[in-house]
Amino acid sequence: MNNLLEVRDLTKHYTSRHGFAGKRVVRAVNGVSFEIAPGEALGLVGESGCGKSTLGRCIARLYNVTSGSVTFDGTDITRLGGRALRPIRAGLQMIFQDPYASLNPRRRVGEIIAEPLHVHHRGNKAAMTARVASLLSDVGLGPEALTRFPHEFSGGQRQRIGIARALALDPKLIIADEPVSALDVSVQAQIVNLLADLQRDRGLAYLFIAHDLGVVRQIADRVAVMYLGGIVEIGPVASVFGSPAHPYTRALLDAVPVADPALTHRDRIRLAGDPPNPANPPSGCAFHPRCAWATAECRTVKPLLRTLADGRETACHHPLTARVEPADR
Amino acid sequence: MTEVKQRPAQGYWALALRKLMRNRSAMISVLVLVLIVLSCLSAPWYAKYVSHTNPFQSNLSGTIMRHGHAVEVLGAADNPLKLGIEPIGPSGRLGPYMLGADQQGRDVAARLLYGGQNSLLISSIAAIITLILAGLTGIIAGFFGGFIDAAITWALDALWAFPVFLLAISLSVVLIAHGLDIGPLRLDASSLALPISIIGIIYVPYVARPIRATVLTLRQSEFVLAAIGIGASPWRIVWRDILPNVISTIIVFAPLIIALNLLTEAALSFLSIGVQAPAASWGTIIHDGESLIYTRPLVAIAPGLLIVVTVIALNILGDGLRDALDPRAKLRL
Repeated sequence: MNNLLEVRDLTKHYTSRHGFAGKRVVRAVNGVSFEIAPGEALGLVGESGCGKSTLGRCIARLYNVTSGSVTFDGTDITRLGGRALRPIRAGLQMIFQDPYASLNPRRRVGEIIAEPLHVHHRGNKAAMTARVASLLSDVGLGPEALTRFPHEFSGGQRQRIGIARALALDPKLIIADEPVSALDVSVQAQIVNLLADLQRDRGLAYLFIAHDLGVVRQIADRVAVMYLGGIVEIGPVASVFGSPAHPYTRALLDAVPVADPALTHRDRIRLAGDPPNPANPPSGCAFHPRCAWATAECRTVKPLLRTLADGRETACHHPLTARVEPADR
Repeated sequence: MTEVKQRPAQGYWALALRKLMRNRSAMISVLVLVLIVLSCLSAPWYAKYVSHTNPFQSNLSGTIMRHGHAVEVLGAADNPLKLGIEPIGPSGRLGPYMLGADQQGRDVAARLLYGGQNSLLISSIAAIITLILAGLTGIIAGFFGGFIDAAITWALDALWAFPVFLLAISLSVVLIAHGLDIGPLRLDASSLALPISIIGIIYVPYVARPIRATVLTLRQSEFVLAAIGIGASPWRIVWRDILPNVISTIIVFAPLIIALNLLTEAALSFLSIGVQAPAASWGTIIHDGESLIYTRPLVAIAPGLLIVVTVIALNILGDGLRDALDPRAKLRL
């Protein structure tokens, strides 16, 4: 087994109670499987509310999993808790979306970055101080940041502090939950470059959650597209983004604004309507109510991920790569 | 990207203190409160050197010299039938019976100072009890959730559902009638510990609920998730990440709860179920002044004024603390 991370049929359900009327189950993540090799960056894209953050937090075991399994570095961590999980956590760290919420406002930056070292008893005080200083310089901050508070930094600087904290334990996998979506565009590029450099220098693997396809294209080797709690397409970035097989992937790509109107292709597909309520998902293919190519089969039979000729997988009865466009569009 | 603003790093508390110092009304309140506390602390000295009376002993037949001739401390009432008695009125200058005497001929000014000691002591210690209990229950309920949260919330709701004064009155009646035995500890009916514990308990839900709500939000915040992701133990997270972020809420509550306690203590003592005679509190002095309200209104008005001034000062200080520590919070009592 040479995969760093293996996720099998991962499911996360939320139960909301409505008084005495009964329970409603929201299927935030519904039977997701994928794997990440050491040093590989997997992008995870999808619109808001499709369950990508929940998936990331389930893998990091910030949330308990409803069913399925998460295997990290050969260890099944799905049901591990407390003390048993602690050594595993060192290898699997998270970077969060909101750099204003992910740092405790009452603690100094030095303490924040040293916190993982304290929790895992890495070295004595002097060794920790040296380690924190070198982490700060790795993420492009000077040692004067040590004694300052998070509120004294800009969004990009704060995200660097969050990255330094994630790096402190020398993890093998970093789950980055929309790490740049809260930042200015100019700062986004700097952070993405930093993450790419760190991946190259340290052999890090990433699960890179984003809704910005451009960022994913830049950093990811493979990409998984999520829709309503399930993966609808997964494969190398070049083939998935180059010739999407799933109509939803195609719609996502077509939704990316293009600076030059002459370059937009005529036959863009636009998504109609809102994503369905995960508490009450459509029958068959979850995407069929918004899909221009939906057939009777799509309305009744749930498509499973299957491998196409070029090695990518897609969950569609009628992958786009295998047929012509509908005539009426 | 690497440059950092070259201004000395200012801690949260240092910033808050500076903000509070710039708040003029809060500083005036602090001054007023310090004056009141210092005056109350000087009570023994006042009784010995200024009023020359024992404020805990009746002085039914004494006389003092005033305007060159002897005056009875408890004179005959000034009505046609000469029925009843009329305590000596305020002298208006520093000395014996500056604010007059009560029905037992005791110096009201000296009793006010001693009574203030008790009132302030009870309110402050009860507030400390309230804040510690509320902090513990609120943090534990909000952080651990599930069954623990349900049990604590239920208990707080049950306490909350009692009408505050009815609860205090019934507790007081039982405890003050019989005292309380806790193992080797024997509290008798006149102990201040009884009103302190009663008042300290009844307002716990008042504070615990907003703390629980704050902790619930913090529990979902990304920096707590980050701490979980690091592998920090729950107690470490409570201590390092939760507590520093709710302590400001707790501190903001402190003056407001002291003010509330002061009013509760006065009400209980007025109903003779708080501080027990011969000890005094502002509430008992109002009670003493009740029957003199037409002839010697100052006996009831003076402690009432002190309560009002102290409560207003505490509330203004509470507002100032909130602005300095927790500007987004909307809590108000």
